[in-house]
Amino acid sequence: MHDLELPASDLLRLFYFLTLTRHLDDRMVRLRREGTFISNFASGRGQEATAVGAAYALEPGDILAPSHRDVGAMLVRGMTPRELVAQWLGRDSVATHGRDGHLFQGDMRDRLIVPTTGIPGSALPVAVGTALGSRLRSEPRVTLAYLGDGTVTVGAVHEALTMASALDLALVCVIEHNGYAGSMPTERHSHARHLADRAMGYGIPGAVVDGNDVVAVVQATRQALQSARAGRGPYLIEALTFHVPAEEEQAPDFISREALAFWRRQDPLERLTRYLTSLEILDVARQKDYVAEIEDLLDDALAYSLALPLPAPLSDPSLCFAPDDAPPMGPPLIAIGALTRERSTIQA
Amino acid sequence: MSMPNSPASDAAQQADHGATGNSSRLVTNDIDAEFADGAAEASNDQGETAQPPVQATIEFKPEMSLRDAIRLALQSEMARDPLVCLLGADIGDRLGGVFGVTAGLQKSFGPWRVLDTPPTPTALVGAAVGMALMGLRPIVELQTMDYLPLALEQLANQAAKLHWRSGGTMSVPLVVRGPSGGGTHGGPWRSLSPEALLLHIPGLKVVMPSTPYDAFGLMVAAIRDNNPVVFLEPRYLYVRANEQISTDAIVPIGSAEIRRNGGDLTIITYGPPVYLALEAADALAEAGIETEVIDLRTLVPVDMGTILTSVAQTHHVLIAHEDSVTGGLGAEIAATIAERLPDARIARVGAPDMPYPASPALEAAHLISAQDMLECARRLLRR
Repeated sequence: MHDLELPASDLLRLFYFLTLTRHLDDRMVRLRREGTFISNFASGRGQEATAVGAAYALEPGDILAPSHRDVGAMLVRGMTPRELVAQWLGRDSVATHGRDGHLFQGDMRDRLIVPTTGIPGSALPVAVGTALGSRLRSEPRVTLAYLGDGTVTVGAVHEALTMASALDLALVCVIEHNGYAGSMPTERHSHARHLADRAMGYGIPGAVVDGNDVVAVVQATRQALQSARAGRGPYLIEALTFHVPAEEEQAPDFISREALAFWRRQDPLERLTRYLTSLEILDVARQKDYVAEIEDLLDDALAYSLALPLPAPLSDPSLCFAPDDAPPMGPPLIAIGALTRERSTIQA
Repeated sequence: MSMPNSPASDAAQQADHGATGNSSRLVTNDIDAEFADGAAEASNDQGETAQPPVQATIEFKPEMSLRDAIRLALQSEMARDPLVCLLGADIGDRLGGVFGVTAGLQKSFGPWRVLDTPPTPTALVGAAVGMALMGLRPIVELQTMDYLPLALEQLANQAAKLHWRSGGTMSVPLVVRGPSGGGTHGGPWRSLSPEALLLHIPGLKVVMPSTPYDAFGLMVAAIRDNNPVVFLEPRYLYVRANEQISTDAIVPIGSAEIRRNGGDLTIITYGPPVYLALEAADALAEAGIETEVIDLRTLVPVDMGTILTSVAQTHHVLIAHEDSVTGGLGAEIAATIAERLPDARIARVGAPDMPYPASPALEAAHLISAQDMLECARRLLRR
């Protein structure tokens, strides 16, 4: 399955995050179908290997700019199910007090996550800015930004890649190519063989990766990060994947049943499970332990969120403006090379 | 607003708005050779830039132009705070900005802190948001505010909303600055007054100075503000407005300035029409009408306290702006006055609701004049 294997501890952590992402996603879909208010939730089911794998390749000091289906990336980066669920349920949570849904899950002091928006392509210019900010601060941070295949059609993406390329910024873009921009299949908006071919026009490297193979995604992203960190400018990765709902009737009519069946066989969690089982890293008992732990975590997140009050109505426009004594943004300034190579405290 | 060498601008030259204790004057030398028709906005066919030479490092002089006051503010804030940085197309030392506002700064602060970028307005403003999230205090130059609609997505969806939607945990200190408004034969692509587009976006602050003193003080305040500030530079006044400035004076955002006191009529305006309002006030004084002229300086948040205090006394208010009338800042101010002081008589003077025209003949009619204000004031006062 892979030329190079990752250490077993990494593989198990990837398994944990894929499973957590899948179970959280399924639970939100179920709650919504039961009539619970879920704000701004976009299921990333079937695409977890791309979301989790690329973010897993980051160093602790790197910056993540996720897109709307990248809950897996946020979890890898240290977002907790409590934080996410409280946002989805519109509660008076610490993150936004109900003002935004999970599209605001940001932290630009510690975990270095740029909050995304509901506007396709809008986040990439901001990611160029975090990469440029890192350059001005003389820090070897790389910014990893996710895009959808529909998003690459947006003008802001062209401007952002133009600028990032011209300035040789440390920016890695992962296109999560799931075949459809809304209801439009990719071949209807792009005549290029691969979306990664666009890299050629910007004079930057591009690569295509099996987006449902989490180990391949980690390895491709590491290569891209290494190139960007070495000062060779931005890097475009196209990860081929598909959004597969838990049940067939949840898929929209415009998606062919053959495609669904094909991609269901490519399920990233099942592929990783088979791989780990074949390596005898994972057995049924251990898998059950993981699931039990994750279910407890999600029960806790839901109970925590439901116990939070709903936010009080807002009427004060001064909430739109930061006060004069607002704390400075950004991580603490560090010297060149001071980024620790150790992984963060994320535990599987 | 008047054309160069027109009677209106000659009169404006003598306008005294000494409320700040500084005398500002408009010069009427023919700078259109430098700035007209976008000639200064790029290298000409011979590959030479069309701007006047500027010093590599600007020094404080007893009297300086509005353009130089802005440059001095940028320079002094960059020297004070290493997190302040500039980015934009052509702002480096090859050109120094299309109007020369950033000339020499790259030599002083290096190619990264004064960063020449491709002409990508959306990416520029978005990048400034990302830089602000990394703790920097970026200042973006748009070569003309006519490009602002290109960058509006990043201003509206990213910069303006971030503090609010982060529950107050994030802030985006950045400045978007550039030449605004007309009067320099720029036609429909180099004359936009964008303020009405901006004032409907909660989370943005918008300022427009009319004097070098205020240009310096407002720029310092804008750079130190923890919010996105759009700094509209009246291109008509870049080198026409000259006065003594103070490098100690920070002009707080949100405070208007009374340029002339009077008890019969209030004229509220900002930018180049401030000089026209002072000219109209002179003419009204000859008829025994005392006019209070308020220079807003900050358009968002507007200083309603100063406005209401004045109108409560005069009961007659004329709101004038170079921007077109419908849905303009004047409409919002008029509505607020009508709600708070229902007995006040209110009128507006602005450009017609159409794009800014190219031909000088059309331009002269498009721009408001002191005469327009005068006639409107007389109707308002029924005299």
